[in-house]
Amino acid sequence: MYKTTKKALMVLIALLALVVPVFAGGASESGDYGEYTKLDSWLVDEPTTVTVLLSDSASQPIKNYAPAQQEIFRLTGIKLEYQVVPFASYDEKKNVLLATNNWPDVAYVRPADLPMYAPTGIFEPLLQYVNEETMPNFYRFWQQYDDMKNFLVDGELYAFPVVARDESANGFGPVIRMDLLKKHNIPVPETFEELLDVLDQLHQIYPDTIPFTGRKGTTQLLKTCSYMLGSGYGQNGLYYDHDLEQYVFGPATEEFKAVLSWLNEAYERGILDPDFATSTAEQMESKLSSGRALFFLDNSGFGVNYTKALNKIPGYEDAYFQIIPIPENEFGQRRAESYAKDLTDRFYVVNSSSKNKDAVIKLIDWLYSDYGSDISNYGIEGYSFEYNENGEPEFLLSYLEQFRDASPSSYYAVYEDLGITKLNFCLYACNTRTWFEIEKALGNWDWISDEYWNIVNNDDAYVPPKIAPSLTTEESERATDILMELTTVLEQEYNKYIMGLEPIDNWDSVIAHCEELGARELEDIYNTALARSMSV
Amino acid sequence: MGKSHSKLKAANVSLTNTADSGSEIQIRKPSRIKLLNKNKYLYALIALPVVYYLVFHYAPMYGIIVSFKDYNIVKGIMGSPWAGFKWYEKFLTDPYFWKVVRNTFLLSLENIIWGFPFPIIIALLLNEVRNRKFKKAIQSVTYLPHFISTVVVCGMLVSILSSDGLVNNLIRALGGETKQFLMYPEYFRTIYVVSEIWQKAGWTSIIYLAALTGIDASILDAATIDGANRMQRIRHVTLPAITPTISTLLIMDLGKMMNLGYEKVLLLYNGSTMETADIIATYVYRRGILQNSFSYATAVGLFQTVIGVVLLVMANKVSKKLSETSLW
Amino acid sequence: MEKKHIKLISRTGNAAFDIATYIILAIIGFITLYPMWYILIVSVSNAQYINAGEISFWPKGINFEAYKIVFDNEKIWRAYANTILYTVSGTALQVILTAMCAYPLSRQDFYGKKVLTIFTTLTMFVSGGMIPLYLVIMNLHLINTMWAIILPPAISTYNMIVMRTSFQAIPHSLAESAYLDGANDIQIFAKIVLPLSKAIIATMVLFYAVAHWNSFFPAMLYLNDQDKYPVQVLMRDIIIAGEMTSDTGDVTGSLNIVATNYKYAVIIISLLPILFVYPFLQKHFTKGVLLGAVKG
Repeated sequence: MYKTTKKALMVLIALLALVVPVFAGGASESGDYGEYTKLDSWLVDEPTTVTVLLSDSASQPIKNYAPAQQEIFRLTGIKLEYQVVPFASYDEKKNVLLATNNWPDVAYVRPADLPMYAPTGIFEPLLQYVNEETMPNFYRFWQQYDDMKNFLVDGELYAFPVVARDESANGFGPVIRMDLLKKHNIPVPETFEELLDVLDQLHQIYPDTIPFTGRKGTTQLLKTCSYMLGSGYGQNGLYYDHDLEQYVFGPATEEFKAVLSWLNEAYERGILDPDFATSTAEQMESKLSSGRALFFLDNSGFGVNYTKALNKIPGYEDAYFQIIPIPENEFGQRRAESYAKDLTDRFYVVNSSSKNKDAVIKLIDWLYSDYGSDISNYGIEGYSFEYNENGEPEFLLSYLEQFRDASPSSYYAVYEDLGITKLNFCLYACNTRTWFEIEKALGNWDWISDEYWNIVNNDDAYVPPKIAPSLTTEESERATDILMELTTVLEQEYNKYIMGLEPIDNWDSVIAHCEELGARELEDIYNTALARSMSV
Repeated sequence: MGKSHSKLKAANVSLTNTADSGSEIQIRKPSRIKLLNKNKYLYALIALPVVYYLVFHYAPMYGIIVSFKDYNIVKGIMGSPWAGFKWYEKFLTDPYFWKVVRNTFLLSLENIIWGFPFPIIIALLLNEVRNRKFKKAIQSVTYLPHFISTVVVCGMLVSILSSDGLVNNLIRALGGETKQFLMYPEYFRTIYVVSEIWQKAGWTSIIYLAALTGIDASILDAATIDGANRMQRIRHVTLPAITPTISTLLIMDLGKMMNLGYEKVLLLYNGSTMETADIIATYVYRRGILQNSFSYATAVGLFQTVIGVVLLVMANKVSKKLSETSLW
Repeated sequence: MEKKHIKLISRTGNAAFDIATYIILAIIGFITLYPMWYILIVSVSNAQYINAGEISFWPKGINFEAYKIVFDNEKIWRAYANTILYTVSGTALQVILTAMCAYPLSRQDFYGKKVLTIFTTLTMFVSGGMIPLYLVIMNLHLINTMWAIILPPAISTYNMIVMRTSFQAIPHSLAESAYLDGANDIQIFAKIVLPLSKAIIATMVLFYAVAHWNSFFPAMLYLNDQDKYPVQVLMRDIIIAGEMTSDTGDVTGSLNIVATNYKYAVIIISLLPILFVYPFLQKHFTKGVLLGAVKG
C-alpha cells in the first residue's frame, strides 16, 4: 500500500513538473509588440500601454496582440492590453473591480452601471474633452446623435458609446416555417389573429408538432411579443412607448390584456407550447431544428441556424424558416422594436485615476475616425483588406479563404483571428456589415438570408430602441424598490391568465394592485428623467 | 532538555489517560502555564491554520459594517456614510421577505429530512456487499452526478419533466394523467429534494464509507459469533461506530439551512411555482439584477448568519444530550 | 486473516438480505450512471438525432466532430495545464493544513479546544463578503497569481470538522504509549495518527481535488491574464451559453448558438482526468480494519 501511495505521489510530482513550465511559459509570452519605428501618425511621444477590461463570448474569444492591435500600435504608438473576462462572469468581475477601484485604464460597462458608479467619481468626466479640438471625430457623432444626451448622468458624460457603422438591425420578430405555408398554399398572415389561424391550420395538418415554442419561460415570451401586441414589457415591465412618446409600465395597462388574451388563445387552441413556462433555450433550439416546432417569436436571426440544422435531415432539404412582416395587432397597429441600430448599448468608461488619460482620449478619438474604424474592423491593409475604388475597405478573399469551414462560423473566426469588430475594443464598430461581406465572399450567403434582410429592412414597423435616461441615485433606489415588488407580484400572475385559470377581466384587479405598489410613480420617475436629459 | 522533559511528558500522559477513560475523578487543576506548555506541540501544529483563519476569514469580516452604511466606492468601506438600519428595515418590514424566509426554511427542512439519511443508507449497503467488483463499480458510479454542473442537471430535469418527457411518457404508457410537474407549487420541493439526493447522496456517502473503515473487525466478528444477524450487527455495531460522524454532519447541515444557493432554484422555478420556490437567495439575486447593492446583500447575509448560528447552537445542544457528540 | 473473516460472515449471512442489497444498489447505480452516460452518448451523436430527441440509451450517427473542435482549441489545453497545477498544489496544501488544524482540535486534552473550535466554526457562517476578501488578497499582492487561487480556500471548515471527527475515533491509548517512548505530539501526529487515517486523508484529497477542479469563480475573480485561467472558466462560458446569461439585444443573428453535442463533449473532456482520481483512492475506502492490524 505504501508503494502505491508513493507511486501516486511520484505521478503528481511528475505532473507538476510537466505543468509548471507551461504555466511559466504562458506568462513570459506576454508583452510582445516587437520592434517599432515611430511614425508621424503617432498619438504619443513614447510607446504607451493602455489597458482595457473587456468581455468575450465562447463564439468570439478575444486574444491579445492580434493583428489589429499590432496595427493600431504601429500607427498610433499605443499598445493595447486587453484584460479579458468570459461573458458569463463579466458582471460579477466588473462589479468587484469597480467596487474596489482596481481596474484598467478603460472598461466596458453596461448602461445600468453608469448611474450606479458615476456619482462615486471613479469614471473620468468626459464633457471637458468633447469639442472640435480635442476630439474632432467623436464630436462629429456627438453633434449628429441627439440621443447621446440620454447618456448624461447629472449633466455630465461618463462613457463613450460604441457607434454602429452601417448596421442592419433586426430584432424580435415572428418566424415561421415558410416552406409549409407555400406547400399548403396558406397566405402569410397579416394580423395576429390570422397568425393564430395559420398556426392552427398547420397544427391540423401536422398534429404531432408543437406549432409555437419559446425559451426561458414566460418573461421572455412577454419581452418578445408584448410590444407588437400593443402594450410592452421592456426588460422587466417598464418600456418606452414610441407612439405615446413616454415610459409606460406595461403590465399595469388595459392594453396588456390584449397580450395576455392573445397568448391565452394560443395556449387554449393548442398552438403555444404547453411547456412554454419552463422551456430552456436548448429545448427551443432542438424542437425548431428538428421539425417538431414550426414557429417562434424571438430574435428572428435564429431562423438561419434552425434552417441549416433542418436541411441536414433527410426529407427536410427544402424546409426553411423565414421572418414574416410584423402582423397588425388588435388596435390596428403594426409595431416592433429593433435592436440598437446606430447607438449601441456598449459603453467604455475611462478610469479617473489612470495615468495615461491623455493617450486614452486620443486613442478613443482616433478609433472613432473612419481610418481608425477601418483598422479596428478590417485589420491590416494589404494583409486582410484593401480599399476599393470607392475608398471603402474590403476583405481580401485570399485572406478569408482559410476560414471557409471554421467553427462556429467563418465570420466569427475572422473576427477572432484579426481581433476586430464590435466585441473587441472598437468604437465605430461594424457588426452586420463585416458579417454579410465575409459570408458573401465565401459563398455562405443564400437567398433565404437575402430575403430575410429584405423583409426586415423594408418593414416600417420597426423602430430603434429608446436609450434609457440616467436616473439619480435616489431615483434609481426608489425605482428598484418599486420594481422589485411589482415583478414579484406579477410574475406569479402571468401564467394563470395565459393558461386560462383566471378570466382576463380579473386583470383589472392586478392593475389596481400594481398602482397601489407604485406603478405610476415608477413611470413618473423615468419620464421626469427623460425630460430632464432632453432639456440639457 | 532530554530527561526532565520526558518525565514531564509521562506525568501528562497519566493525566490525560484518566481524563480520557471517562472517569470523573477530579484531579487538581494544572496551572494555565503548565497546560500551555504541555500542549505546545499542538499549538505549533495549529498556529498556521489560525493565521490562515485570521487573514482570510477574520480580516475581511470588517466588511459586515457596509450593511450599516451607504457604500460608496471612492470613500471605501470605512469612509462611507452611515445608513443605520436602513437596509435591514428594507427587508425586515417587507412581508414578502418573510415568505421567502419561510420557503427557505421549509425547502431546507425537507431536503434534510429526506436527503440526509440517503448517503448513510448507501454507505451501509455498500459496506454489506462482499463482491468486491460490484462494490467498486457501484461506488464509482454513485458519485458521478456530483460532477455534472447544476445548469446541465436542471436542463435535464426540465426536459425529463416536460409534457413529452420521460416521466410523462411513462405515465401515458401506464394510462395515467400527464402533468406539467414544474408548473405546480406543490411539487416543487419534491422535485428539488429528489434532484439534490440524486446529485449528492453518492458523494456524501464517501465520508461515511471512510468512517466505516475505522470499525474494528474483531468487534464485528465477536458480534457474529454471539449470533447477531446482519440487521442486528448494523444496528448495534456499525451504526454506533459512525454516529459521531452522522451527528457532526447533521449539526452542520442544520446550521446551514438558511444558506441555500440560488442557482438550482433559479433554473427550476417559474411564476407558477414561486409561491413555494422563491427563497432568500433568489429574492436577493433578482434584486441584484435590478440594482446591485452590496449593502443590501450584506445585510441579508448577516440576517442569515444570525439564524444559522442560532440553529447551530441549538442543534449542538440537542446532539450533546442525545449522542454525546458536540462540535465544540 | 481476511479470508477467515469473510467466511465467518457469509456463513451467517442471510440470502434475502444479500439479494435486496444487490438489487437496491444496482438500481441506485443505474440512476446515478445514466446522466453521465447520456452526456457521453450525446457528445458522440449526430446533431439531427439529438434535436429530434431520439437519443436515449445508445448514440446515433456516431461521430467525433465535437471532440475535434474541442481538441483544436489551444486555449483549452493551456487552461487544462493550469487546472492541473492549481488542483495538485492546492490539494496538497489544503490536506496538510486541514490535518494540522483538525488534529489538535480532536484532542480532548487540548487546552483551548473549545475556543478554537468556535473560532473556526464561526467562519462557516460569518463572512465579510466578496469585496473585503478581494481587498485583502489585493493588499497581499496575490492578485493575478496562483496563490490567490490556492490560499483563500486552504481550509474548508466543513472538511476540517469531518477530519477532526475521524481523528477522534483513534484510541488515545496509542498516543499514550508513544509518550512513554518519548515521542512528542508532532511525532505522534505524523507517525501514528496520519498513517491510521488513510481513509479520511483519501476522502479529503478527493473532496479538495474535486472542489478545486470544479471551481471557476475565484479564478475568474482573482486572475487577470487569460493565460492563467483554469479550464472551468472557459467551460462555464460554453456550458451556460444561452441559458443563464441575460440577452441585452447585443445579440444579432446567430450569436451564442453552441451545439448540444459540442457542449457535452466539453463536459466530458473537462471531467475525464478528475474522474480517474477516485478509482485511484478507492481502495482506501474498501480496505478498512486498519486498527486491528496496528494493535496486532
